[in-house]
Amino acid sequence: MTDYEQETIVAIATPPGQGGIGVIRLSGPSAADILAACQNIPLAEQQQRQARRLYLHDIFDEQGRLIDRALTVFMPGPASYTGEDVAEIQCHGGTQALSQILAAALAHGARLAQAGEFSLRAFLNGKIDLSQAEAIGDLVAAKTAAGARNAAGQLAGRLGRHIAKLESRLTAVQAAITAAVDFPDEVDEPQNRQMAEELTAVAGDVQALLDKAPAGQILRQGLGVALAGPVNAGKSSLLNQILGFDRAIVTDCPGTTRDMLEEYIDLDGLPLLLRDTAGLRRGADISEPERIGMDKSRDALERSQIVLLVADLTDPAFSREHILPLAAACAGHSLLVLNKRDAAAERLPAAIACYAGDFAGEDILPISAKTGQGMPELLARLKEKAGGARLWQEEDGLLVNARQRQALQLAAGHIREALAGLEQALPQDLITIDLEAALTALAAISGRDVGEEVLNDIFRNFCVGK
Amino acid sequence: MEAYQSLLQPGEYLAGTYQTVVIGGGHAGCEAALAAARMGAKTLLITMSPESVAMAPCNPAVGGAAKSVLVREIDALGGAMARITDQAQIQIRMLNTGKGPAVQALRAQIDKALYQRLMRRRLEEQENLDIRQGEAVKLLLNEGKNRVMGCVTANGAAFGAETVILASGTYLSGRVIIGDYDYPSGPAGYPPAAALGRFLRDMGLPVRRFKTGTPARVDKNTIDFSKTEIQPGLRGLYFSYLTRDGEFQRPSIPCWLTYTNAQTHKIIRDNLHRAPLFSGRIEGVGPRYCPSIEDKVVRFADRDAHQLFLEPEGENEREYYVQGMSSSLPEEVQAAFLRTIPGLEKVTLMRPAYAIEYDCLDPLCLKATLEHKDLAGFYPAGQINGTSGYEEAAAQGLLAGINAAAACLGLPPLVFDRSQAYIGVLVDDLITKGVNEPYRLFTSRSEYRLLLRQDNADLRLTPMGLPYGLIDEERQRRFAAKKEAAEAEMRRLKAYHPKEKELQALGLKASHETSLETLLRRPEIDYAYIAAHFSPAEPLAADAAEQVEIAVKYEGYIAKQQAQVDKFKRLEQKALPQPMDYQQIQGLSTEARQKLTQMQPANIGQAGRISGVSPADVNLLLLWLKAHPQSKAGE
Repeated sequence: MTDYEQETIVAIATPPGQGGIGVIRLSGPSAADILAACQNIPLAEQQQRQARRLYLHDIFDEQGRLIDRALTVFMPGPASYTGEDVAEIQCHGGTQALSQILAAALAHGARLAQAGEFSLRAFLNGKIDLSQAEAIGDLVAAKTAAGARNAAGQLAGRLGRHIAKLESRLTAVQAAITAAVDFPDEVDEPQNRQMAEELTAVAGDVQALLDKAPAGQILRQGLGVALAGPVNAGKSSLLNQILGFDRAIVTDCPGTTRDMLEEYIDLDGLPLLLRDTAGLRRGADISEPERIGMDKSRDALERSQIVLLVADLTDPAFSREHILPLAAACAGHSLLVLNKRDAAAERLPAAIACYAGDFAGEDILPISAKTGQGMPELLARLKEKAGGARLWQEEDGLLVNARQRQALQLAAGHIREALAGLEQALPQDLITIDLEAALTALAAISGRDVGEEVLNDIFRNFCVGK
Repeated sequence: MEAYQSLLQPGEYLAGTYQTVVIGGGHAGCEAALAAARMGAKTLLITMSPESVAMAPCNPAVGGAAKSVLVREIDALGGAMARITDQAQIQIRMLNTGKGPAVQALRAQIDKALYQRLMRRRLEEQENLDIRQGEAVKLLLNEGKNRVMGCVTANGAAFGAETVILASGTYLSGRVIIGDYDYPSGPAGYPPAAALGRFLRDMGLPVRRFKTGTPARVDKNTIDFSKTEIQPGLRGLYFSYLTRDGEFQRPSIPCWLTYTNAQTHKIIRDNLHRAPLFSGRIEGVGPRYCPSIEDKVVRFADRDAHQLFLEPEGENEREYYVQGMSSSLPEEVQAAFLRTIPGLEKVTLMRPAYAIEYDCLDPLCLKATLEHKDLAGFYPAGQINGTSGYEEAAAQGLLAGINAAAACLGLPPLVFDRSQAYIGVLVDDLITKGVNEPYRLFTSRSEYRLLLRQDNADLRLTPMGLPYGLIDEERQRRFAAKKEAAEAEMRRLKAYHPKEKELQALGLKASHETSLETLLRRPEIDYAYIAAHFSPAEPLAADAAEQVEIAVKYEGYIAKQQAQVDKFKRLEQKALPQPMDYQQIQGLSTEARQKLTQMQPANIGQAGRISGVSPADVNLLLLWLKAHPQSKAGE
């Protein structure tokens, strides 16, 4: 439930995408604390600074790693846009820095703002008038209410099933403890060790869900872009071209990229995680380390949102044999990169023609990783592709938005506290307070009535009564 | 007087005028009448039979998990249940002793007849309270039919009243079912109240049909206790904060445990077609937590035994209550399956088990004071509101009595929220979520249970009852002494830093910041240890010592719960206008608009607990409230 006066909200205030500067805005009673924490300075130092004045300072993530150097400003309420304490961090534009600073603010206790919530607070504090507020009311109703009401629909999806499974497992533990409390003559206390095992497993599943969630993945890791293709097609050279510096080991001996290389880049505001993969080939002379590398490669392909299929124009038949099965597997989210056009320009028309049935024209990109020819076109197409459907849509049918992600994180935290309580052998009914908090956090996604679910479980699974 | 005369029909006469009339003398009615009279309202209790007040028609026990907190809360507000239980108990136990302080629970077996006699005496001793035998058959209403003006008995005796508390239990249109045999009846063979049930239906109040049941009573002289396991009680435990150790000389009579077996289950299965629940003879909704033995045998078919307890109904009675064997199978089947059970081979029935169906009202129509939203001055309380259990009934009776009297005496309403009392949880659940089956309290229903313990009900509630005249001097004195002693000891524990040598002498690891408080926080150290080695100037009373120990030992979890409560309170304090036109708020979902319009929640917090009201709807309400600061909520 929303609690306007006590929670500090945060959001990226600048429009998504490119731009020289990005702004993170915080509003609420802890704005100063969170601003100080993001700069890794004591609150007292923040408080000594002049209000409404820009200060240049480094911004760190929650582990203390530098994110960016930015301008910070603190505007105490009520003389602020929302009427509450407001803080802003103006950093370099680009999704990566903004996302990381947003994540840091969340880690330090802010809650992600809902649509229109800054304006709503401004209205609630008398900063804007009623006619403006009515419009915001419509906005809130249109966005969040629609979201809440669609929750039932979403819950039919895979996320819903995952959450329901987590809830029912936590509820079972909760019910086991509670049944023994409410019916002590009839039901024995559950074993701490078994509960700890189950809670550890549930915590792991919550974490797996968080890791799988694309929103979380993109915030933390960037959009996965894999480079795949036959051995010696020049994938590592292409990676180096994109990165702009020598990072991969490049040799003429086939099969040297046995370990996967991963590299972050910020492509005009798009966070990308580039993955080079081992070249694919068949034959009797595949060594064991190579086979492991190839298994990893397949895994990388599955985890990536976009695949660059790299073909060697100097060896068209061999390339085609390897590319086509991959193209079928990655249909719709792959680009065909025809490399070494500098060495085999004369074969280009024939190659394009022979792939025309399998790729759209704009998805076939002839380049030379060696000279850089064709690279601007490739990167432009990559951005278009990345900005399109697959980035913000579901992966595995799991649509996890920021609010849901926060709820999962909250639940994970409460489960950890419950485990700590079991570790200390505290009375089991105290553990139920943590479990109830975890279930309440998940209920923010599912909308289930926590208390009622526990009772249902008790009456279903325990034979109790007079 | 004249106001009432004009409401009478031919054949009715004005028998008296009161501020509060209570219909029904069960656990709800007794507490209601006592509370109203104690506050100074001129009160009448109408009961079908004065000798059957405070009857316990089902199990001969008071308390248990969650319920024992209710009993203590009633006591903290000056109610009668706890004291009378202490005087009438024949066995007492503390449940959940191995668990945390929030869930430890007292349960007493009571001598039912003695309990009734003591309650009757208590009622008769109460100033401002008249008792009248009679069956209430209708309510007196004003012309607009939106205010209650009193009630009329079957004999035509009309009683004018400013407030009427309806505590009719399971009597309204009651029907008892035993196997293929059923007849109109109240519990335990008492006559039902059919006329009042019809009157309420004719008034257009939504009435629903609930069902409950009770097991057989068997003859003690036909039980072979040697084949069962003894379940002894303890001594020195009391429900009331006022009861002093040794004040009442009570016996301690054991209960006995035995088990069903394959033979029992076979007889039940073979006769299932004669069980009215399965044959469709019962239409009422029964409670899941109180399944009949035939229900258990069917639903848990893999269990080869179910436990049952044999509990005395009184100190001298031969009747024993067979806990766990509630049934509505025919009498002869009951006798047959009981005789398969070790210890009961030769048992004879004294009363058969039966199921009872009765009318109850929809509690969604009630305010947190238990006053009906559409009928001013009318306060339904107890089982009529769809609850089950003596304690749940008594708690509602107390609350209804307090608020009915407060309305007459010009005092503000007294309501409890979910963070203050189990009474608050009970009432909020009833009026916000409604009931689909007879409602019973469980610890899991209370999200702030670590704060709502049976050991601190007085600290939570006694000060709230004080301005209403509910707390007598003795209770005030005892309350203040406990509170002050606990607080003083807390201060001492924080301030006292034992010397390193003292600690070493005890074999304790020390650090420079060790205080008695930090010592007590260690799992291996309890308050008794502190008191023994670092004793206070005056030894601490056990109840104060318990508070100190809990406050220190569970500090972390108490702080967690307190933070949750603070958050809850902020929404609870945002009152909504009464009545409120939800049509004018743009953007609410259709379901939320309907439910809010129907239920008229008192505040934002309550609105958010209504099923079908989403967080987005709550945001819109908050927005609307801010935009219309002039719409002050008021009763």
